[in-house]
Amino acid sequence: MTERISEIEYLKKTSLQKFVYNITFFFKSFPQRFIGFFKTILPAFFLRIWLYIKGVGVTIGTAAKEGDWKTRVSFGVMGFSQLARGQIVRGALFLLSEIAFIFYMVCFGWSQLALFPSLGYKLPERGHYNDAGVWVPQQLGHNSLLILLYSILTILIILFFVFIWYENIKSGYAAQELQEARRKLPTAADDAKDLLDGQYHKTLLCIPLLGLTVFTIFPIIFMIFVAFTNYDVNHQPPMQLFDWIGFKNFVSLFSGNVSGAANFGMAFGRILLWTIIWAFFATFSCYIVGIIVAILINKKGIRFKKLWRTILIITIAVPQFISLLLMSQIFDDHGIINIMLQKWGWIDKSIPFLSDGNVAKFTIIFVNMWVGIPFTMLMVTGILMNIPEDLYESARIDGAGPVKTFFKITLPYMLHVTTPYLITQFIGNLNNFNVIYLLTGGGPLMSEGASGGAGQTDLLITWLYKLIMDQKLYGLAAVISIIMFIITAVISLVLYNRSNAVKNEEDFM
Amino acid sequence: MKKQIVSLLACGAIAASAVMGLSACGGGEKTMLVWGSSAQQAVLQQMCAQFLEENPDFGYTFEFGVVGEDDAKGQLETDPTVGAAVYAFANDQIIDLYNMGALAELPQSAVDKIKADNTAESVESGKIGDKYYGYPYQADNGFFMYYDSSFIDNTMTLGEVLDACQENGKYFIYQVATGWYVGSFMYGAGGTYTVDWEGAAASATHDNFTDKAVAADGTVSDKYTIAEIGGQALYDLANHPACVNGNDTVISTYISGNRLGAVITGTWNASLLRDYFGENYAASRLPDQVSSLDGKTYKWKSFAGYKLYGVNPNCGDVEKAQQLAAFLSSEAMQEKRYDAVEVGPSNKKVAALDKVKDNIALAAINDQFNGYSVTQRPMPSRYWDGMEAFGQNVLNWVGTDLKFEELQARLTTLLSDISIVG
Amino acid sequence: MAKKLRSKKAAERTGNIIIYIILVVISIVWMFPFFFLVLQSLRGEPGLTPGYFWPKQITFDNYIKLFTDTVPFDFPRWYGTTLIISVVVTVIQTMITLVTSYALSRLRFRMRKPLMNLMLVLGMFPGFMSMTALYFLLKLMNLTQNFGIVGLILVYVGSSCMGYYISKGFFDTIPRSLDEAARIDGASRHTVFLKIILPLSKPIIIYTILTSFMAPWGEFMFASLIFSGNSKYFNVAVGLREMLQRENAAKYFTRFCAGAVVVSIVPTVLFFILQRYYVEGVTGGSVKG
Repeated sequence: MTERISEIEYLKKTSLQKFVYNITFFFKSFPQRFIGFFKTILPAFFLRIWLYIKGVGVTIGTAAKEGDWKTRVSFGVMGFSQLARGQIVRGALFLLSEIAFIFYMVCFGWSQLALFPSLGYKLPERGHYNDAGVWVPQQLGHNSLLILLYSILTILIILFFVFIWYENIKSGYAAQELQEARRKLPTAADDAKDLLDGQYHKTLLCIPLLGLTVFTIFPIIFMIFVAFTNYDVNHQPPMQLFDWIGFKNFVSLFSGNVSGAANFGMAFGRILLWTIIWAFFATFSCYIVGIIVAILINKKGIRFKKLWRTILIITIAVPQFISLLLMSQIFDDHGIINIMLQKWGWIDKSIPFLSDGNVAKFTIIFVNMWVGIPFTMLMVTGILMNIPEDLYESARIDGAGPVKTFFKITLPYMLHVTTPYLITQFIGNLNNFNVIYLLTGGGPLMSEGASGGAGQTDLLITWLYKLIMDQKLYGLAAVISIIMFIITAVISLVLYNRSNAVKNEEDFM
Repeated sequence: MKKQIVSLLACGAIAASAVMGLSACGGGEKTMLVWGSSAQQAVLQQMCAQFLEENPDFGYTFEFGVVGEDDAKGQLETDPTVGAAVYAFANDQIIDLYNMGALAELPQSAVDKIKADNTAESVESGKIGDKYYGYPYQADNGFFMYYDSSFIDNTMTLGEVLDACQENGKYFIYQVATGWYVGSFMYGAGGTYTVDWEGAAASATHDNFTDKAVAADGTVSDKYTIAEIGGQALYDLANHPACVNGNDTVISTYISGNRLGAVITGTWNASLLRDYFGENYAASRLPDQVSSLDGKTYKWKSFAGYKLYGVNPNCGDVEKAQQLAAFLSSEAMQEKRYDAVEVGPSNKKVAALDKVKDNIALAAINDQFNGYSVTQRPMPSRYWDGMEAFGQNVLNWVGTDLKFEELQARLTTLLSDISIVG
Repeated sequence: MAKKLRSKKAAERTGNIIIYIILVVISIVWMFPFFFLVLQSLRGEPGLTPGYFWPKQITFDNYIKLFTDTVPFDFPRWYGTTLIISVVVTVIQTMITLVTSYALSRLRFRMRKPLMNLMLVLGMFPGFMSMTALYFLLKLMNLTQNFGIVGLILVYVGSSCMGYYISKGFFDTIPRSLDEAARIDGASRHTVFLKIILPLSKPIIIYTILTSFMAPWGEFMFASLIFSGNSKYFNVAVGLREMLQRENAAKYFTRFCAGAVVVSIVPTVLFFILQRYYVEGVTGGSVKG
């Protein structure tokens, strides 16, 4: 068990010791937190869901038992209770949503859902010329991909409708209760007013959340389902069908038995390792050097502060795909840097900045610093001003030099304040597609070969891209995505919910 | 207020799109989308305009997309039911395109016509089973040698070319670690590699790389296999001080430094190199190579690839699209295309025209395709990956003293990488 | 004493000189690629990177051709398309982001914490396959190909609430007492948001505008999917990438550089003007997220 030391002991330590202690404590306690996540946060989450469902059941039960005929009719004809009691707008909206839902299901939803279990069976017929030389048009059959996609869409819509239906009953019964208590029912105007005040979060969040559901959650659910199908190069809609295969993709990933890629397991392991190393160095190199640059620029007595800052900021303004494509040209074996170095006689042979696996790793981290430092520099500038000047003053009286002050005061303070930023950066770097894809494309290939196109600088995310685009192992790629997602999500939830900044959110306000 | 604006905008966007969606169905002018590479875009548009002039009652106007022949597959991948009605593609994509249902078969009349007009290989490259799926129009997708004729001539072997470059302080450029180029020495030593397709996946591959190598004079080596001769040749080339591993970027770099002596590349670089070499501009098929293993002379073969027009059977009017594709690949249009961008025609009559024969690069590729090439069939991705990884390994060996056993071991890996037994 | 002081001053001066040197080196490293880009865009000789740094022939031809020579690369049209997409995306995305972060920062409701966690986590899902899903969803609504621009905008703004992080941090720093005073005076939450919080949020509004304006200029993955190769509708990112394809690179590299310079101008100018707010926004937002 890792226990925190007592406060007195803690205060006795010097700043550097405190910093080291905090860091070690952070890592030592990680497993504990990790277990804690599964022991407390996750069960609590499910408990909440269960309580909610129970609450729903109770409400519906009460409405069914205690409700008058108007309330009961609204079980079938939504909005009836409200309409009958004079809440016209509210009732009409419920009724409309029911009509829209039925319309959707009859016209589209049901036909898709009916094919969901089989993912379609009708094969397409290729267009061809018949014996008389007349063109027989191509007949599209069932498209498993679209069936899956639209079924999921329909299921989401059904769930949403059930929620509306429940709200309809709740509000219908509430109206009945108010009427029985001989109190005034809220009018449409009251509702509108409430939506701008008490229920303001609903007004604000409805469109953002709709967007989130349609454009993020829906595709993710789709992908999770794909992991359980044999969607691959030989089962590609529209000309072929694919089908459910249960956990086979998971099994073949863990047994490393992927057709055409004997070294798949090895490649997966190496890429995972490099992904983690990369994320660590990419994050901290930008962070520490960024802070140093900011300190240099902000030092008293340094002039042209705005100029220095502006020069760095151009990197942010120019679209990344341009600057990265440019960098890949500059660092090419025969790019301008190699040419200049050779011209000046500093080197004889080109330095393989991007064409040798190991050198490329350094180059990529360097280029990433070029991209990332301006961000850190900007962010840090403001925070630097907030560090109490007397801390530096007393350090100076103790005779500490700039290096010591940096490690004793600046860095610990920064780490304390910007932990959430660091976490987001770290997670972002785990999934940093652009830098790798545009600089090296993951290359050079692992020279062992037969590893699913894996390159020496590939991150999991760029490799995933290759698995999808070149190898067309959609099902397998979906499995890897899910695993990656679970790992990163759990890590970041644990880190994030325990970091000081989030905990102190309320104190701060 | 903010909120209302947001919802208003969103509603507006949805409403606007709905209206536009309706108007899309509501007739107007019927359009047909045609894809071609950027280099041929201008001439493609001219040809289509000419087509409309000659067929005033065609009933469609054209829209154009810049999609290279090697990119058609990628563009159609996600949704083959949309995309161009007529598009240009490289023949090694035919299996994938067919499996997507993105290629319509040719009517018998068209098949008879293209067979009569074009070289047999180019027509065959569009064949699956006993049906034809593409109108050939270009036969020059391969690589050969451009060189400086002031100190290199077409009778030299590869080793002599390299030495000549070195003596003159010039360099020889070859892409050692690119899948397309890596296997060329193995094919030159008699190698073959074919693939059975089941759907879009290779169900079996057949290669003879472990057979004994065949020299240029037809004698069979008693000691070395095709893979060994080819692998050693690639290493010897890469290891030569005058050889530079590099792509088109490198070519331009060496051109600007005036350091280029010879280069193995394709027709797309012809005008660049013609300007560079000036009056010493010359091109020939790939030189023979004398193996450092047994001292025999072996051929050096290129891939031979063709470009064809395909018709998307999902487009509204397949008959009309066939008509256009036939027109775009016709004799007159192949000549027009040659005049505009100097690409190698697949049409026999156009290829026999004096102006085409006098074109140095096209004459070289023509030589190359005659007995010094293997037709580039659709390959599984493991072929490209395996070859590239091997090339990468060869580059790592440069400057070291490569032991033959080491090469042999790596070749065994290569062969298992690129093949499935079946 | 005086001597000591002087030596201290001298030490400080050498320190500053070292810092200036470091800053100059940093500036060179950071400016070099852009300087190189501009030089290449002015190069008269064709071809990819040449073996020398200074062009032999300086010309504006590449810029002129970029705007006049529209077959096969219709740059002016792409530029216009991207500009429209960018502006619309900026307007919608800024609103969504601000509204979401205000709700998460100031309002208290049952699902607040889970929602924040959810949004944090969702961003980590590798999204390539979601492109296929979104494509067919948009196709269902007829928002691909000819109406791809609308579809593209929807995709770009669709998940913008996930970027709540920095602006929520900013709102958190605005003292709560301000809202409470207004609430006591009878203002609704809506009024508080519009009349009190927003006027104080200029930096974060500008920060959000800047970041959302930038994104569409560099996106090529979804854009190339949605237009099915109909180059009429491309955005600049797809178009410029097309110029660097193997068969085009040698011919169009200098023009690509010119295009890149033109593309970078608008965002760079915006940044110059609005730099101060950007800095305030990002510092306000990322401390104590």
